[in-house]
Amino acid sequence: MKPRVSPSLKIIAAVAAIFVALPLVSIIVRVPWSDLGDMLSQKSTRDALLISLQTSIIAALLSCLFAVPLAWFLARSVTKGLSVLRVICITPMVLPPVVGGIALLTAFGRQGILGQYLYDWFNVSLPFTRTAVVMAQVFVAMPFLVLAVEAAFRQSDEGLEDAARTMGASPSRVFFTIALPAARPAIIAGIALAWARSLGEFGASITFAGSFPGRTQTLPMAVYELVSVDYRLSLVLSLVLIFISVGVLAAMRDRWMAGR
Amino acid sequence: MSISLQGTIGRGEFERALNFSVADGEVLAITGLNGSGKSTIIHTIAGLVPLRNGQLQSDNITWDAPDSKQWVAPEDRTCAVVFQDLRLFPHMNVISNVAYGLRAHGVSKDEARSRSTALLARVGLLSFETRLPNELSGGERQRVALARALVIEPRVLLLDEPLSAVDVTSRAALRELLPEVLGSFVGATILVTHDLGDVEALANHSLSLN
Amino acid sequence: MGLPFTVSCEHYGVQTTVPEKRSIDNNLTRVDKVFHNLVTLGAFFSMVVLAAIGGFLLYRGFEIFKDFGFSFITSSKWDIGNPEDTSTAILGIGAMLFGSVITAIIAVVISVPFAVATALLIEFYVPGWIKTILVSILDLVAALPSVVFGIWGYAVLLPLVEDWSVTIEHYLGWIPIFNVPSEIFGRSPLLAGLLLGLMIVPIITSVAREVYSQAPRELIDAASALGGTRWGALRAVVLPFGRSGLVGGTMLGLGRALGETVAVYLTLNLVFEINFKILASAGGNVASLIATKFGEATAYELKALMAAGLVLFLVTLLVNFGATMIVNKSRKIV
Repeated sequence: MKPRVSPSLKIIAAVAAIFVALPLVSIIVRVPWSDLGDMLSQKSTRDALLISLQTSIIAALLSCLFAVPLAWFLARSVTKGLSVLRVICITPMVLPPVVGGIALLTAFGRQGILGQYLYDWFNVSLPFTRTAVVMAQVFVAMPFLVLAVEAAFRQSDEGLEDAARTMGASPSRVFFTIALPAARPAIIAGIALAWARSLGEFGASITFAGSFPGRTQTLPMAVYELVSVDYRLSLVLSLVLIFISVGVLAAMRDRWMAGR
Repeated sequence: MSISLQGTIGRGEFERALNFSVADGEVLAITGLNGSGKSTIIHTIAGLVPLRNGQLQSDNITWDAPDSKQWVAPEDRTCAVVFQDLRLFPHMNVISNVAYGLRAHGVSKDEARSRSTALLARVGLLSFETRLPNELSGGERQRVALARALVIEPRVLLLDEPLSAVDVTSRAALRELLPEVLGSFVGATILVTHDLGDVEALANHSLSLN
Repeated sequence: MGLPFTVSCEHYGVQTTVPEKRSIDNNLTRVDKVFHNLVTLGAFFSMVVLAAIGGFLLYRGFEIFKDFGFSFITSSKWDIGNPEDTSTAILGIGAMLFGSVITAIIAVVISVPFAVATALLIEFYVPGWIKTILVSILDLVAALPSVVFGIWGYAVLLPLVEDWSVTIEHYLGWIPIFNVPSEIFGRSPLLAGLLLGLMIVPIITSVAREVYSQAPRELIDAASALGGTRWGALRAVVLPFGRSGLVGGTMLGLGRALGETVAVYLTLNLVFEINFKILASAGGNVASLIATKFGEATAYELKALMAAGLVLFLVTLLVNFGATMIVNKSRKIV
């Protein structure tokens, strides 16, 4: 039967769509377009943009490096206590990012549980460096990647992996030639999402890495600092963030819809 | 004896005691109703499922003996399987599917390619090398699976319902091809089927699970 | 799939699965042992790091709990006193905790109706292309950095809410929560709550969609066939069916709203008093307190911030744990 949309629902839907689309439209309307070129070419803006791009790309790739084996382990291992491990792995998803940042600091800070040895033995101090920005972003973005890739591994056909083993392939060869190609679309989509999330990360980075212009200040931090100083510039930087997010989603749209 | 199994497979109502052996050049047909555990035998010999108890030996090497904790991993067993659902790798073309086992055994790329081409010629699929599995007919896919199993020159060939998933015309063609292939195969063959016609046409011995 | 192995019975079209423990990892080559160990190590590394979070925070914040006891949570004064003498400090996150809760509650109250309506529309009403648009919009909202929402709240929503607040206060000011004695509107809990509400619509919608899509279609069709409208059928069948799942999804959203930092920082005036007058420009939440004070905190204040982090950690963990339980339970019933 052809469903008839009741008017009340139509209205609610329209309001919802407008409500949701408003942030984009209103920021785009308010951006000082004529000065856009000047603003984007300022050194502080360029620095924040470059730091953001650099850290978020490294963070997305690192997340992938850690998340894919972890997801494989979660999807295929028969070890006991796996559900506990899964819960712990995805904890950062539900953890407020600032708490994550504090946790990183207590672990890797100069007086941290691990950090004090890093400092004493190797003279390495992680907090308030660009490495810290990357670590914070990995911490926040990786769990999403783990879940996405694990789901893909679970959906892929175990029979093919068995077949490969009977043909003489070792578990690692099976992983690289059969399981990984099957999960590739999900991995790529997951990396893109992890990248977008790293780019927008704020709470964990500001507590663990601080907001030092030219050193650790990423785009979201620059927006936060600039609101009270140069409001128009903060709008411009928000616009850049919006464009990148929209771009990521648009690039993955087909993949997106296939799963629904 | 090329392969011998003496022990129990399955669990609960699927549990089944078995005792059989197959010599080189022989074809043993295992028949039985659906659900009688025929595929489980294949999976057990291939090492995808462990034996409950007893022992599985091939060429005097123990592959699986739970009581003495002996176990050979599936990739180290000198057997090859044609699965009932074929399990061709969907992301690889025909030649890569066939060459996969050789590459896994450390054969060089060129040699793997030429040996795979020779086998594809034998099963009549010479011009299909660059096609993907989903571009093939049921009968063609069955031939790829057969070539993929034979190319690694196994000592034991395990065929799980090799004629079940094909249409009538392909079935006739495969019925002609299979005896020819099995006749020149030097190792032991175990054929699982529910079709007594297959047993007549292909096997030396048969074992009924009912 | 996912089962140990499958015996197919193509004659009867039945699949019989035989439960059998797989143990194919008994005998591994050296390379594979390395590979396996590497994977296990990676997994355990993450586990150790994450499990340590609570422990670390407790360890660092312990002194604060010892010094202030329960009043750290109930008191709303934040005064470091003489930086040289920690005994002069009075630190409490009562106001911030209250702010976290009240903004999160406003967010949930606003977002749940939107999320339910959107989920029903997507699942039961709209044709494919509208569905695509709605889902893309939701994905976009879920993917936008929260600082973008913060800026939008500050630039666009703030003046609007200020106007609405004046009107509401004028007519409904006699109700305590709408009363604004200082006549200072603007960066109020209402604004922050509205913004958070918008931010958590996608997560609630996606859980609601998942639960609603599992509602028995034949019951819906039967209810429609009995002469009711589509909406009547949904109200009779789908909404009750999805209730517990929706509660779980709402709690997931609540957890997210409780932990939000920058959007709240930009839209809520940080004032250390328990403010239940949701139109007045005063409040704050624990997460934004931590982010704001962290940069130039004294050593003792830092400990207090870590203790605050622990409280927030426990609250969100509790909320999320409850949510997961409820969502899983509603899945099992299906």
